[in-house]
Amino acid sequence: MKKYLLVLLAIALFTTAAFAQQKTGTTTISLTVGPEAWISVPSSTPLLNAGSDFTVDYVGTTAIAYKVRTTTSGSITFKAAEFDVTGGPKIASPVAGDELKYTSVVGGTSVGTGVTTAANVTSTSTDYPVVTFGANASSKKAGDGTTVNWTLPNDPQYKTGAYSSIVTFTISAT
Amino acid sequence: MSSARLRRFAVSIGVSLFGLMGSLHAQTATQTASIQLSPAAMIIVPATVTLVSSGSAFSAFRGSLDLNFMVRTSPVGSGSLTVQATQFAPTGGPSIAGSNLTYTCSAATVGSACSSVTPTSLTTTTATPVVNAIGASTCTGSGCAGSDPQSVHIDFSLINSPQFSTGTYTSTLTFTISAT
Repeated sequence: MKKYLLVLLAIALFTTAAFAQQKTGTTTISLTVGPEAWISVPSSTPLLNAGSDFTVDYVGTTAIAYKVRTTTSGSITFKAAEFDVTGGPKIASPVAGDELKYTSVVGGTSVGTGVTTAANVTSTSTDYPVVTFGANASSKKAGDGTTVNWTLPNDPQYKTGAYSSIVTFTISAT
Repeated sequence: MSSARLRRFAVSIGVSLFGLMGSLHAQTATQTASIQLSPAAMIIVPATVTLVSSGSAFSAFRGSLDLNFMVRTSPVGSGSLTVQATQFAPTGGPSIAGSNLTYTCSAATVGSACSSVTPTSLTTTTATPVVNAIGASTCTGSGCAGSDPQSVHIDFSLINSPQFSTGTYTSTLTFTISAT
């Protein structure tokens, strides 16, 4: 009787296994990754004078975060609007020696090449380079960074008061 | 022939005809047709799914598909639907092994869909669930409860890393439906 039941059970299991069905279907998932760029800049950068006389320039630093992926090239540039109040520093046609100057330093492991030699900002219509990217450049997934260091001479001719200029940064990738 | 014999003959013919007609109307034939229905399954998958990044820079690549399937389980059986991926090709772009591609499920017409909230990562080594717990005695089609065909909606999301080189990348997803 016991043997009979075992045989019966084996047959039942075999029958169940034989009935199991499995079917498959496939799909190809695809995407095209293109050049792309993203930038984040602080809303303001104060230029401060640490001295009490005219021997120390106004200085400030703008920290920029960016992500970039290029096929051929890319860049970060900025354009500076004229200072909002007259009687102080000027972007366009400043007195010789009073030019706003800048350099840019790309972070240690960040992608891109900065501007190491101080350059004058003397136009409100020029796109000034901050970082340039070569072909197949890619930032880290979390993003890379650069700092722009500003220097503005402290001219006794400037009237006292607060002055501001809107600087617009643009990142591009192709 | 006398009239009495003629009457008996006519009655005899009438009885015979009646008997014949009666026997024609009474004839029946019975046959038992039987069929053994085993567990079965079928799946219909679109040939391609395109993932697209839209909106802000480096936003995720997204895409979706509706998977149609038919399934029949035995009174003591069950069913399930799973998916497994191959690595993206060519190299230099997204990676399945790096858990770059995830999916969520919704609107399963039978069984329990995978989470619609917590994404599931696709892998190249393990089949991950799309629909689980397709119950016993489930069937699809005329006479069955539910949809015909059954279906489930899948949303894919792929991270958009700056580290990916520009180009076009593909991966093959294999969906497997099982029924017992």
